[in-house]
Amino acid sequence: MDEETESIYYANNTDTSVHIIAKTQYADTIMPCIFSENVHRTSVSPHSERDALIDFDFLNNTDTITLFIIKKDDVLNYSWKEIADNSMFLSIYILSKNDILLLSETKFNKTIPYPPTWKMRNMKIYTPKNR
Amino acid sequence: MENAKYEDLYTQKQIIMKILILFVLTATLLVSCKKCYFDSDNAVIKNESDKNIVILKLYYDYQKNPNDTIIYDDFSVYELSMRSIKPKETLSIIYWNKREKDVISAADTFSVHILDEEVVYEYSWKEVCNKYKVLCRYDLSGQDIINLNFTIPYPPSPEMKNMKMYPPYEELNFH
Repeated sequence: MDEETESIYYANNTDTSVHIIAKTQYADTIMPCIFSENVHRTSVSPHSERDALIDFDFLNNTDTITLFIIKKDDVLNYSWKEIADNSMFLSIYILSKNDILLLSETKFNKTIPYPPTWKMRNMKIYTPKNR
Repeated sequence: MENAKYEDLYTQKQIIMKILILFVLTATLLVSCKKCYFDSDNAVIKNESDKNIVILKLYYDYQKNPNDTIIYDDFSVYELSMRSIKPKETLSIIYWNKREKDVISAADTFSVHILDEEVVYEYSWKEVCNKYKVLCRYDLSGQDIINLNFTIPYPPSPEMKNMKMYPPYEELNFH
């Protein structure tokens, strides 16, 4: 199986549900328009994994993906405008294709964990100060 | 020798005519065959308004109860990631494969919520759900979708005045 056509998974290793917004195009920490074609959104339950429904084709344009990780409760109780204006993110990852390949647990499984693991210590990860 | 040349030309003309006739017949058959469209085309929503709209369509597993008109606070049950549609643009909303047809045949109702993108951005999801901040909800049958030629407009067109929607067509008052 070609590595570049395999699925990417999110793993939520916390006790609360998280919502993950994935964007390409710009490798920055500015929250994108959540309705844009270049944006994928997924929720992940506590202590579980979910198919991110993105693959390496999604990364072709910039070779970088930015993930905004938000508490799912915050998404329910606050507007997207409030979340963006107040940087209500648990964490922001800016990952290259190589970063994602490094996170392969097995030959077929690419899993991006939250919270970040020791393997991710040299990757671009930001935690807003209010968190 | 010349006769042979003329015969060749005549044969070539015959072949070309036969190919043209076959092409015209095939084209006519395809154009007139609605079932062909039914099997191959996607249905789209077309935004005929002047603002961005957001579409909520339940993943097929959740479509089994056609009387369920609420907006779920678990937005992960909605596919398309709440993709928005700009004015005059379209978005494929039903992939006319066997699974979708089975679901729509079983309930004979396809429901979709249409929201103002600005509203979804400005209000929390809970407010959107609890205050039912929709522009419109369509509850269409498979036949409705075929009658609309697989292009479902928002705002609703006059052809849709007898189709099920909320608010009712008369209250939407676009035409």
